Amino acid sequence: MSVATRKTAWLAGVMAATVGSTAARLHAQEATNTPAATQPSVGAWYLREVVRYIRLGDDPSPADRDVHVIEAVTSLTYGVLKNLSATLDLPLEYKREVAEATGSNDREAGAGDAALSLKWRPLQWDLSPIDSVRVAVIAGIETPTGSGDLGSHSWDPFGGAVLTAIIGRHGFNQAVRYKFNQGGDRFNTRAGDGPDDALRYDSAYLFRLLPEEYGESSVAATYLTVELNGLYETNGDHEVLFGPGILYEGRSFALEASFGLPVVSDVRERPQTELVVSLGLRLLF
Amino acid sequence: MMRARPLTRTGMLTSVLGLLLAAGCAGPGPVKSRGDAEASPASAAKGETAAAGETKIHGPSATLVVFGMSCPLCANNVDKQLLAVHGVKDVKVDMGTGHVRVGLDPAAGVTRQQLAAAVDRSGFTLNKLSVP
Repeated sequence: MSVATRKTAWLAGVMAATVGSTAARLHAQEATNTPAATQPSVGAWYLREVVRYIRLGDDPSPADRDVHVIEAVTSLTYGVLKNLSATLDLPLEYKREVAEATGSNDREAGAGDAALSLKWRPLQWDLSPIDSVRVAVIAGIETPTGSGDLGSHSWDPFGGAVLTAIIGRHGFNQAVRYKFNQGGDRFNTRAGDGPDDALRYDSAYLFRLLPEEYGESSVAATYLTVELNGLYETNGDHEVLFGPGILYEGRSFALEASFGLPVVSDVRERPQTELVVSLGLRLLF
Repeated sequence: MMRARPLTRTGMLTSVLGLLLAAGCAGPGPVKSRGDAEASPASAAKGETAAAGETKIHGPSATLVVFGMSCPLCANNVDKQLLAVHGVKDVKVDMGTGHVRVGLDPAAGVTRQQLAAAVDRSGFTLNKLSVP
């Protein structure tokens, strides 16, 4: 099989995995890039597929690269206890690097670093039929499963916490996660995956556009989402993306779409993120 | 352009732990579930019998008030757990009021405790359970 044919087959596989997983149900009130303190009930499985296009540029390395990435992250979560869930994240990536300095055009496709994590929700206040405040703690490890330049080739533990508050039509999620990077290369193209530790701090606001009021016949809801996704690395690099989006939840599936545009970009150790476009699907079964 | 000195791992972790402590100390007290209370004499008169600490429901339905179901898909978890109880025939959720009407097989002897436990497993809070 030629290289071009293999890459086409790989991309077709990613698309098939994305589309093929459209068949059951979900659990939500979670914006695309910001975790929420929600989880599936005991014994339930929760499948989420997010496909992202990421464009990076303004590379500080001598190669002066422009980078285009398409990643498909499959997340499978299982409800272990009423307040404890386990998640496996499996990323697949396609990356194209164009080096302005040398004129080279490199392409790479394969698995990224898989991650295993636990989410424990020790605090929960359900204040009314709709209103709820929840706090969860997350701990996990990123495994060295990535191939070539698509992984850090190291075991990287991470941990953090999430606060979710839902009041009427308004939802707020605040998350903070810290990753202890044990490996990774300088001038790599994955934000937060270099040799320095990474602190992610995310805020999301969700506004329920429809319906204005839930009733006996309500079976779906549409949310406007706005996110601020921050990444600070201990080498001093700092980036914040502003992300408007939309989330549709039915009784048996949910669809999401969002953009990410940089509003703070003080990055000197890797190419800067210029644009992120995300499409997602969530199912509970 | 000069930029601020990067934070060290220790500095970052101290900040994160401070935020976590702040989040853990804030917020109202927990809402206690009232649905798993023992049946009262009044409820026993409504078609329930109490034996061995469990209250069987002999009627065709029960109505639960569940707190915290803030989205259509959240409600699915409640559906799923209640339908897994032997003797529960159907579940209808009104998210606006939190009312969950549970259709029962009267012969199955579903207990209040089973329904309360199902809501608990779903990750939401049972506020009230009544039998018509």
